[in-house]
Amino acid sequence: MKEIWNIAKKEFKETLRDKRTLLVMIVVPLLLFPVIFTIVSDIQRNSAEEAMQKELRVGVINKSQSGEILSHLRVKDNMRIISMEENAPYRQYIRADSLDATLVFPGDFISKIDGMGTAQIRMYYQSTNEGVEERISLLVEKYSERVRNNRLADLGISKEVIEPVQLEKVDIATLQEKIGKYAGGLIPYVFIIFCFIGAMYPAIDLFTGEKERGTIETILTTPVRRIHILTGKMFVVVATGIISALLAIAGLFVGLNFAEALPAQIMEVAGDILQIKFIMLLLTMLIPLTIFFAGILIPISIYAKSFKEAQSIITPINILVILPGVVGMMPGIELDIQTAFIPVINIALATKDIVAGTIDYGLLGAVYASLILFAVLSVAFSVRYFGGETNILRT
Amino acid sequence: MIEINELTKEFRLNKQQRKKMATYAADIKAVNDISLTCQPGRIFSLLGPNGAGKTTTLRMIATILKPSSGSIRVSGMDTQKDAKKVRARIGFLTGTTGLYHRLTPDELVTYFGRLNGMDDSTLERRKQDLFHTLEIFSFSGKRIGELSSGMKQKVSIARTMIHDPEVVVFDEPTAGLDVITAEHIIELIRQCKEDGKTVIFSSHIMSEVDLLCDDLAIIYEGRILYNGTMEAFRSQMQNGSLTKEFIRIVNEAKNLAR
Repeated sequence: MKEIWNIAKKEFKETLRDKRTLLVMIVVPLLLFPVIFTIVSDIQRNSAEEAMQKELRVGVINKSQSGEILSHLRVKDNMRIISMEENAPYRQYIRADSLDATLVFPGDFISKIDGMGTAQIRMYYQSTNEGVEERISLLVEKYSERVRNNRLADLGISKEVIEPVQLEKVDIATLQEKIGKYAGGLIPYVFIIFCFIGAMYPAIDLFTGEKERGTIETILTTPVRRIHILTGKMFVVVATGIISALLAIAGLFVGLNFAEALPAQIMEVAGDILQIKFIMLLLTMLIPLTIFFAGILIPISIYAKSFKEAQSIITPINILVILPGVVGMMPGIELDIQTAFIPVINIALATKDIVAGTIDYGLLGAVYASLILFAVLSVAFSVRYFGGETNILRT
Repeated sequence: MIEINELTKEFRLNKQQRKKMATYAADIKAVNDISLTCQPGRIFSLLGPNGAGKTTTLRMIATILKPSSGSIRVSGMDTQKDAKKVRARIGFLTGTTGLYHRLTPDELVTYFGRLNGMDDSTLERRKQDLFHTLEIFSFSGKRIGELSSGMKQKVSIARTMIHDPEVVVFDEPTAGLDVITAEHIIELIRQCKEDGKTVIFSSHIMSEVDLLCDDLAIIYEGRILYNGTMEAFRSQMQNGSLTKEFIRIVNEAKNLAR
């Protein structure tokens, strides 16, 4: 035990003195969420405010026919009405953004309204120009409503007469469920990636690095047993992966407290994730997963002759870690008895259900069984591989 | 004391290696039935061209590799049955041995002292002695990555000797070093002899062997071509220079194999 600790202590010291590892293990995970949140909230605030507050320039053709519809405009509607000739090139104006929309009133608009008919207004606009369609539709809808009510009153008909059935929708899915369904797996998934990336550099540094620098023989000729050397090093590899993930969680916390104007959905999910109970539960899954990652990364790092070779083997494996997470995000993929046994996917799916509060405890058990099984297998493989004399001295 | 008895080491060849060596054999005997003895207080030299099996032999002595057959005893202990005890008595240094660049000499030597199971007070005393003799104190707190190659070599020596090993194994210890740095190593080997330690070192540089060794084995393609004292070797030489004699013996073996 003392030997393992000696090894681990020294490896920690070395790892913390490596700028590259520090960057990947501490700086990146800590800053990720605050940076994302700042960008998201900036964009969110700017585009939403702009769309609603910007003055709309609306071209109107046949303004004399528009009747009361435009006279009800208020200052807060913030629309500038520009009366135009019928043959004006209004389509071009809209394309060139000098107009936001053009309303064309037919010659019989007022008579249709007065004669209880349906009058048509044609609106030209660009759907890519956010908020335009909504704001004008609202205006027309309000006017239409007013005319309808007047007509009903004139005819002595109550509103209920023309609305025989009303469907009242009651959505009993909690907000938590809705969000959990779509986003609950996403944030924990980021932690999974950090477990992998955080473990990657130390794994290469602690094994391939020893070969590359020619230090492996010096440690193998000490009386420390090989299994103890491996355990000490593996401990550091796993710990750095977990530390990276924890720092990402800390970053999430900091980001939430400092970023303003985040979409409510993100705040809600993040709030659920930041509960101590959820973090603990997540950790119990991330630890065996990171041990599994280490069990894969270490034999590769033992095999590789140089840092470069190790990286070129590990890079495609990166995709293998990212891909299952993407699959887990897809709608229709649920935690079941098959997906519960696939590493990475199972955590993404299980956390989704946990956030939504719909986790099946039997399946959660299967997830743990699978995580532990894979961890044990990969560690056993590492132990065997580290013991093989030709692997470790391969140059 | 190192006693090597009928030692053989086979390596399995993969396809690539077979192609490179132009052979169909599944295995290669890197070390083929060698026996030799290294005495305490004497310097034993293992001489041979590249690929002769020197490194493989030394790695088996240091328990990094396991023999395919035969046995090695270090200070009376079997390298396979008592690997841990053997390692505690061995110092191992090669010319290409690296150090942990992000540690300081002080941290590195302490680390290896602990790995060798030394208690704190013995370790501290021994470290002071070594740092004093090797003049490491002036840079013992700097990162090793910032040191000159000469300083690094001194740290390497301190690392090798920290646990006061009875047996010291040097694998081409001066390979790749400049003359001044190599001199530290030559000095160390001499000192080990004076201290009554058993020293074995491999080389393909005859002048180095001539300078230092008491006993000599010439090894070629895993087999021993000559094994005896340096004195006996000199007296039976057929050539004027040691280098020429070494080449003659290796070539003779080559021709015999054809």
